[in-house]
Amino acid sequence: MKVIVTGYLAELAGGGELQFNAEDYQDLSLRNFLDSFLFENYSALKPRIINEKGCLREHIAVFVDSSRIRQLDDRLVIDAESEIYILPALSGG
Amino acid sequence: MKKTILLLGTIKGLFIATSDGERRTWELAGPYFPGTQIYAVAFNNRNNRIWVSSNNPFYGNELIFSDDLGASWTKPEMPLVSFPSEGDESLLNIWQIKPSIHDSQTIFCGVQPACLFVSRDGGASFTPVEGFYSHPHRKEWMPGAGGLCLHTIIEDLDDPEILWTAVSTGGVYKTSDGGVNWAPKNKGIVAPFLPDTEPEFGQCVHKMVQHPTNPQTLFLQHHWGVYRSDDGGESWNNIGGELPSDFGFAMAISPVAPHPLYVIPLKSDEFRCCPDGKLAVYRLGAAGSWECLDDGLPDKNCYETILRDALSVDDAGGIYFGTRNGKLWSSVENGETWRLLFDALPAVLNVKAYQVI
Repeated sequence: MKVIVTGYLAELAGGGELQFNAEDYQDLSLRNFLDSFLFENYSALKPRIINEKGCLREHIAVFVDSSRIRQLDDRLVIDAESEIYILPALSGG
Repeated sequence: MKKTILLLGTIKGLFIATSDGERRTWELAGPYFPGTQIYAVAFNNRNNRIWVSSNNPFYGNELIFSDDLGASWTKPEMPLVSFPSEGDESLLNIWQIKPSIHDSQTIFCGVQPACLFVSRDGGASFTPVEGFYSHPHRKEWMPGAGGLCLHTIIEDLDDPEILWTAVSTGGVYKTSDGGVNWAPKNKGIVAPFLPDTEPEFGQCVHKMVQHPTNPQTLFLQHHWGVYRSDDGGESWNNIGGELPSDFGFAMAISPVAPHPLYVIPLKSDEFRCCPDGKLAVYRLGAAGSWECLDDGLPDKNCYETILRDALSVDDAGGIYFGTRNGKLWSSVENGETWRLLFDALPAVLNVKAYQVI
């Protein structure tokens, strides 16, 4: 299980490929994974990825494997093999 | 003679231009925070700190500071300015940073969506000014083309409880009790873009400035009209009749006596470029008439836009303005002649001149 970030997010995280222990998040929703694991371990990423209302920023693109995620939907479940990409969206310029 | 620094906020980052003592030779540093939009900058001369609002289209806004004139920068890990998470608003931009003239620990920020934030701990943390945040008019304001922003913060010279703010589009609001209560102060400002052309609020103030020695005298550039108040905003009179256009964004007043006021007229709210392809700054003299200052500026084929914070003055008669085509013009002679300092910057959003060292 890993999260791939680029550019400024990688700078803030101290690296572009962030590994997580698969046993910790079996059957976890993407939203819960971000809140409980990614943002817990890399707190500076949170306000750059979501806004004060908890919504994904307009020009941030999230992919789980190759699928684009438009909203941080609680129902989307990730698994041990998932790769999450958090990238600057082309729409941002 | 002190050096002048120009903090130049652009759509692609911050630049800092530093002059020699005569302001003849300039060195340009930057871009700092490349790729981000710099809508607000400020220099706090109490502690020589530069504040920068860096608005990243992907990752949101960061308030950043430097204590060594840009040699190094401090980026707080977590954003300093954000709306309460229990509300329904999120920060889109910071349009104004205003270190208080009354104490070293107070700093104001005007933001988008239009609201006023304050820090009472030197900028370590900011919170919304409650009386402004909960004002019932806020939900009735409308955004202009640039967004719904609080872009001007003015303090009374003597009483720290008195503040004026200007919102586009909402108008002028004043507090006399340190921010608990806010009242609209728009009487006399005509809003031709509304069915009721003289509403209590809803005016589209583009920029407001205060006379350097008489805090009751205010000037503002409206969406249409240049206005003056001599009673702290209780009433306004249009003084823009002689200008080639009384539409525009930028306005500045010199700290040097007799404190001339400067505006840069633009043609109409549908075109928003300088009239007739001719770039000119206009000065309101002590006698109350407008003088055209265009020696050295293009007099044909020039279609520039000068935005609300892209005009600034220093303490020695210097005037500086930046354009949306990335040009930076200066005059060190009170506008009598102009010189192009830089001709290919990114679109200029913000120019602030300070004398340092």
